[in-house]
Amino acid sequence: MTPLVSLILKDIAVEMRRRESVISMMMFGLLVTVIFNFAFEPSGAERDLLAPGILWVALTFAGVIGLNRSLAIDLDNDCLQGLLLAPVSRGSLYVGKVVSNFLFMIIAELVIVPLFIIFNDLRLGSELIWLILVVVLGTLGFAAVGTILSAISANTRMREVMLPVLQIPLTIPMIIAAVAATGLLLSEDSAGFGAWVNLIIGFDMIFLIVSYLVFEYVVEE
Amino acid sequence: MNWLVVAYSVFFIAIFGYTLMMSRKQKDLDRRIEELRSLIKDSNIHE
Amino acid sequence: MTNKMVGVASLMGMVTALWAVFVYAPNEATMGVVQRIFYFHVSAGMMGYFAFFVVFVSGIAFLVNRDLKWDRVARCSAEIGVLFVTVNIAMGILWAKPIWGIWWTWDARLTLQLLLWILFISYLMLGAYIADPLKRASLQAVFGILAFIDVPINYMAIRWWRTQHPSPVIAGGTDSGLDPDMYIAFMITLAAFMLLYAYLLGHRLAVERTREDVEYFEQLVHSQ
Repeated sequence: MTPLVSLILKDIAVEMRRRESVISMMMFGLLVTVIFNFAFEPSGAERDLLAPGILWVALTFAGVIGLNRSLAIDLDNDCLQGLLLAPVSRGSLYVGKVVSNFLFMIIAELVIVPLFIIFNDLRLGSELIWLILVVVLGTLGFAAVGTILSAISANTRMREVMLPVLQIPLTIPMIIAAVAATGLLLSEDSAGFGAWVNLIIGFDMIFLIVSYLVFEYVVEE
Repeated sequence: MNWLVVAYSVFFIAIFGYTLMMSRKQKDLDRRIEELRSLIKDSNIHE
Repeated sequence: MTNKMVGVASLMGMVTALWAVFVYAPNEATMGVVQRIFYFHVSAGMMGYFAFFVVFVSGIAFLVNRDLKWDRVARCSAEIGVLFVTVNIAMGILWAKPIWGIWWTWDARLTLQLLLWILFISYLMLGAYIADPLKRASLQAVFGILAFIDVPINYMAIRWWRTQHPSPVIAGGTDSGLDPDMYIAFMITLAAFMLLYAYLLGHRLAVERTREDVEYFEQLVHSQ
C-alpha cells in the first residue's frame, strides 16, 4: 500500500468514526437551498432561472464547511505535524488530501443534489448525466483549491475563518462556469455547454498542477 | 462635466492622500528609530 | 534620492497627461466631455494588473531564493495595486452614472476590476494575520501565484458570461477603434501612470524598510 493510499484511508477512517464533515455539509447544503427558496420564492419560470445559482451557492458554502471541518480535524492534536514527519512527498500529501476532501464532498452531494432536484421540481432526462458531470468537475475544483488554501489558512490567526475569504474569490470563475453550464442544461439549450465545461476542466487542471508544485512551500517548517 | 471634475478629483485626492500618509508614516518611523537608537546607546554605555 | 527624481518625473508626467487628456484629446462624439474619464480610468485599471503581475513575479522570486526583499516588493506592490484598482472602480462608477444613469453595471471590465480588487484584499488580509515573517512571506507568495493565475481564467469566464447576458459596456475605449489622437493621449497617460507606480512603489518600499528596522530595534531593546 503506497503512502498516498494510506493517507486517504486514514482520512476516511477518521471521518467514518463521527461523520462530522459529511453530515455538516449535507445539512448546510440543505439549509442554503431552503433559505433561498424562502428568500426568493420563485415561481415556475423564475425557478428555472434561479435554480442553477442556488445549487452552486449551496455547494460552494457546503464545500467551505466541509473543508473547514477537515482542516480543524487536522489542526486538533497537531495531526499536521505528524503527517509532515511521514515519509511521503509534499506533493503526495496534497493529492491525498484533495482525494479525501473530494470524496467527502461527493458523498454530501449525493444528498444535496437529489434534494435540490426534488425541491425545485426539475424534470431531467438525459441531462442528469451532464449535471452529474458538472457537479463532479466543480467539486474537484473546490477540492483542489480548497485543500491548499486550508493548509495556508491553518497558519493564520483567523484559522478556518480565513479559508472562505481566500477560496471564494479564487473559485469565482469556476462558479460562473458551473452556474452557466447548469443553467444551459436546465433550459435544454446546448450552445456553449461544452465551452463552459472546458473552462471548469481547465480550471481544475491548472490549479491541481500548480498547487501540487507549490504545496511544499506551504507546509515546510 | 461635474462628474468629470469629481472623478479626476477623486484620483488626485487618492494619490496625494496616500503619498502624504506614507510621508507621515516615514517621519514617525524615523523618529521612533532615533528614540530606539539612543535607548540602545544608553544601555550599552551602562555595560 | 533617486526616488525623489522619479517623483518629480512622475509629477511632470501627470501634468503632461492632464494636458493630453483635457487639451490635446478631441471630444468624443456620443458621450461628450465625460468620456475623458476614460484615459485615467483605464490607465489606473491597467496599472492594477501590472501591480499584480509584480506581486506574482516577486512571489516566485522569493520562493526561489528566499530573499525577503522580494516579499517586501510583493506586499508593497499589492498595496499600490489596491490603490489603483480602487481609483479605477471609483472613476468607473462616476462614469457610469452620467452616461447610463446607474451607479454600477456588471459589465465585463468593471466586474473584472472588482474581482481583482477582492483578490488583492484577500492577499493583504492573509499577510495581516500571520506573525512570522518568513512563514507569511512563503504563504503570501503561494497565494499570490494562485491568485494571479486566476486572473486570465476570470477574464475568460466573465467575457463568456457577458456574451451570454450582455449589459451596458462602460469602457468602449480600447475595444472599439480609437481615434489616433485619443490613442496618443492614452499612451501619454499610461506612461505617466507607469512613472507614478514606480514612484509610489519606491516610496512605499522605503517606508517598509524603515518599519522593518524599527521592528528589529524594538526586539533588541526588549531583549535587554
